[in-house]
Amino acid sequence: MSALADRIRGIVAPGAPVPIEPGLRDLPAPPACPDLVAALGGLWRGGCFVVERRSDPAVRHGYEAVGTLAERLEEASGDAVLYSSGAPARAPFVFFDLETTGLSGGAGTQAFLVGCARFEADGSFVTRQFLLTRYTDERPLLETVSAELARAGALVSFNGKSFDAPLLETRCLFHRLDWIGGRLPHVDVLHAARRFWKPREGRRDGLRCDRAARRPEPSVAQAFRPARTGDSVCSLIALERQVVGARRVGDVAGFAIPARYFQFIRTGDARPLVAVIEHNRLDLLTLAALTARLLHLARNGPDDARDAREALALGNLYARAGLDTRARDAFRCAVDMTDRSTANGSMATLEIDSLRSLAVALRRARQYGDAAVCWRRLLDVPGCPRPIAREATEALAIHHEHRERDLAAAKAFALRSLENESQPAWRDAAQHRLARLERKMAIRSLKFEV
Amino acid sequence: MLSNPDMVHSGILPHHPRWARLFENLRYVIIDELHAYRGVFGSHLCNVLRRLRRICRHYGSNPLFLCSSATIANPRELAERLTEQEFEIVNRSGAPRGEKFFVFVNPPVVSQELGIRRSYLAETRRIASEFLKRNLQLIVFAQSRLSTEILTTYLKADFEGIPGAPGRIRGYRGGYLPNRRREIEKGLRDGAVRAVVSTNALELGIDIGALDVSVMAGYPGTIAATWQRAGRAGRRTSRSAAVMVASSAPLDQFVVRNPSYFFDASPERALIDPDNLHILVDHIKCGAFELPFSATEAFGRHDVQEILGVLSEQGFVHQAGEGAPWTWTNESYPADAVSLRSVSSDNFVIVDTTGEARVIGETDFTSGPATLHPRAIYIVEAKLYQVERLDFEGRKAFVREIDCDYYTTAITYTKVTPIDTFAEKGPYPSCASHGEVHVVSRVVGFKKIKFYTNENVGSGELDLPEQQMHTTSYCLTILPEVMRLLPYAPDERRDGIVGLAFALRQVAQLLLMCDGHDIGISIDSGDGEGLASAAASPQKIFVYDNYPGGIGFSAPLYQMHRELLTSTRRLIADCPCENGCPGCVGPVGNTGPMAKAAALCILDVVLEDAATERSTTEVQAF
Repeated sequence: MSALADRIRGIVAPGAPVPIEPGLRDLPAPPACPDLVAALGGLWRGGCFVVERRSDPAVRHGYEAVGTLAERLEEASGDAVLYSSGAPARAPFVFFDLETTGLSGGAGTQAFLVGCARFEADGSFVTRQFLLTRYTDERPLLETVSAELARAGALVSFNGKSFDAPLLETRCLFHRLDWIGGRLPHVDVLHAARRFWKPREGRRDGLRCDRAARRPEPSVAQAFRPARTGDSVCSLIALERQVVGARRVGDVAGFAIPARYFQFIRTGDARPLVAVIEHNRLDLLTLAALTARLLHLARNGPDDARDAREALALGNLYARAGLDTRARDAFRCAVDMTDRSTANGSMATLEIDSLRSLAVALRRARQYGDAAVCWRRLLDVPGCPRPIAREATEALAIHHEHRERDLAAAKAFALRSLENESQPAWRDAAQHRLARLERKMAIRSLKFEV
Repeated sequence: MLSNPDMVHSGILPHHPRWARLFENLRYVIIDELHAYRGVFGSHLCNVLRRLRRICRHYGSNPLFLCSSATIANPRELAERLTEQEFEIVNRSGAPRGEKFFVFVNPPVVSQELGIRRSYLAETRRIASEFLKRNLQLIVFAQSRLSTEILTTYLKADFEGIPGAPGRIRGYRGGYLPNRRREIEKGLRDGAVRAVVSTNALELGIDIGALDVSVMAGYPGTIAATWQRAGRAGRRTSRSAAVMVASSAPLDQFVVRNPSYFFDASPERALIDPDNLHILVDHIKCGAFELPFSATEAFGRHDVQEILGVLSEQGFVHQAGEGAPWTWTNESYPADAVSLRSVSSDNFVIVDTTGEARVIGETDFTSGPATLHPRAIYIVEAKLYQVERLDFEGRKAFVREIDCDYYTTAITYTKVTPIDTFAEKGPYPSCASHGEVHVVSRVVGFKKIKFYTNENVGSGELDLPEQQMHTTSYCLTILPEVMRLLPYAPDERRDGIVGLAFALRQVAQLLLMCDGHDIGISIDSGDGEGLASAAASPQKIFVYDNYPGGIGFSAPLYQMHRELLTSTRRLIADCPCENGCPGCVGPVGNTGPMAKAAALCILDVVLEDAATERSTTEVQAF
């Protein structure tokens, strides 16, 4: 090589080497003419390489059989609107998930594997995974994917609203193609998963359950360290284990996926992709199982909830959709479920949230007495955070002043709410209330004297 | 769309599909303040524009470039280099201009034999006060952040006791927080602020209205910058004045003694080196991320196909086969790793812990250690703070208000190690070369300097991390044989080298027409191996480009080698001082009494040889 090349090497060398997993480095040399079809079991269709797999209804995925998932989705498809931000989501659902060459977005990040899946009428689960085998084939791939998605009544993804859909949209823009996903209702299961299944340690831990949790940012230092436990409680893998009850063997870690694809692109050896395609297929199957669970819960109500957290999330889901009666039932159920369990830190948090939600829902339904009972119970929960205690005492002060006409009790609650408040605006309001109560009490005592 | 180069580079081009409509319809690209895009920044911008034009071609547009520039010698050449398009130049101004006085002031000589003049800062203070007393609105340009603060302190002191007066005198420099800056700019426009002492931060771009007088403390370093600063006074039809107070630096003295150099010579040329490999390779990565390179595409002067070949060895790009496009095969977002303006986008923030902790300023990474080392005095608008702790990792300096009568200047130790030589002349008795070097600099201590008297009232040692860079350098090597010829003691010979380096730097700056901070100087006298071998080691003087990767000064300097040495000799020989002064080999106190004579002697031997220069050879190492 020339002197220029050597000088450039001196400049470029400090760059990050592409991490290749130890196991892959020692693969025997690839066959002289690598055969994609043989290695991956796919076929060419319309200028695009597709891997199609079918899971029979009898196959189990975690707690349920594939056929059961199909039935549940079928039954509850009408409730999908609850999860699609009001867009008219309906069957058939197309589950989709991308594997990409990076996480940063922008013109240089491509989706090299687009996984799409649906249930067929007989209850089997069919995945079609479109693989980008050459850079120049991206356009036909996007066209094929668009056709695949076009038949959907709703797209279902995991974090797809923030990541997968915008990325495919950018790729379509790049090729001046129309992005069909923009016109389809979209159910992002991650959003619901956070509300239903993300455990909370203490209050307001910030709902951090982001893309990074699902696909950890790759770095050379971390590349082969096992993922830390606990930091990705809301990742698809964690949900698969806890909610779906399935377990993967020999799965490829998310951060190693781009390197495997780059290895395939450089060497033409498709074997490292076998595990990637299986990873993507399992992601789709778990996504379908989570969706079935969510829809099943929405349809059957809190009686099917496994714990208070699910019941509470269900209540919030109904409340947002304006289904007040169902919301109250769910909240009540959540409160009962927290009663039954032993009181620990996260349970107390759940109990507080459930009681508060129920109190607000009851007040909205003008069941003031029942609401007051909730507010009072709320104050008895150990470790009730100040803002909520203030809200409860304020609500009780109002209740006693205007409905019970028990001024002494109202005053006691108003004083308590003053104790709990540090923000000037709220303090002013509480003091204002106290002054009025004292005026009223003075007038009342005058009346008695007369 | 209004934007800046940084946003185009890291926000728009990498996401061009989202800007498809803009690129499809793009007809004009307007670049304002073209003259600011020189050196590293200009070299980066040229590459950003190359990328922009690639993306435009992809979307089928071919925009026309319109540029506007302040007075420089080569606006057309610069525009053509930056955009790689042909330009037509419009260079006649039709704007009305009032009468303007341009005054050069050389402070009086205080000590003839030492060649010391009255401090130019004191002289600037006197002149600025005179204008202020006559209620003229003025701007004072200082050379550094430190002298800005010192002058502000002095001027405020002059008007102490007059109600409201100190508040009408303000300081202004980089590192002030935006709110404070906006307030001062507004005060200047509406006349509430009568005087502002500023670094080059107010030289261009910011609207502060037209002032009556512009006073420059020291020659700004280039003709273009001098005109820019002078132009801050009297833009309308009223009478105005510009005053340049010369410091005792050689460049200042040269200009003030030869005013025709300033008024008749054409202003500086703006140089860029967009094909600096460090810069080019970074932008090729960004370009490959944005759009695959075709197998026939060109990008810059170097062979982009070869560069892509190396990038593919490192896994950044991949070519599917002979003639196929190079596609980006890396997970990173390359634009994030490339800053258009400096080595790194890192900076230090200054936290005042006197009362409740609050941020009072910031400083770029490179000048952080020199200005924010522990016990440094940090000045903001004449208020003194002492640095109590520098959190180097966290990039924070914690300061506390202090009342003292001194300020501090850092002592920086710099070591240059050659890596590769591009060309060499020599070898006996001196050799000149240019090539790639590794520069390590470290702040090793500081001096305490008393306000007003400039007495050195103490010093301290420091232990701070090193800063490193790769750059290009010109190197003058003087062989031990030559050193032994000199009729001086070993110490005096060393002084001669130090003095020669001091003068060489000044001349190099003049010949290259660059800013003072664009080049750095370092001497390698082989101390590392002990004193005994030092006498037998060649003495090396490096004049290096003060930017990572170099910015194209060392090759021209190498070609001007002979001119550089003869001009340096003339500067030293023509200086009327006896044993050295700040105008030639540096003040006697710094270099020793024989420095001037020894430096002249060295140059005589070297130049005799340079006259019979034999051959130029390409070699592989220094």
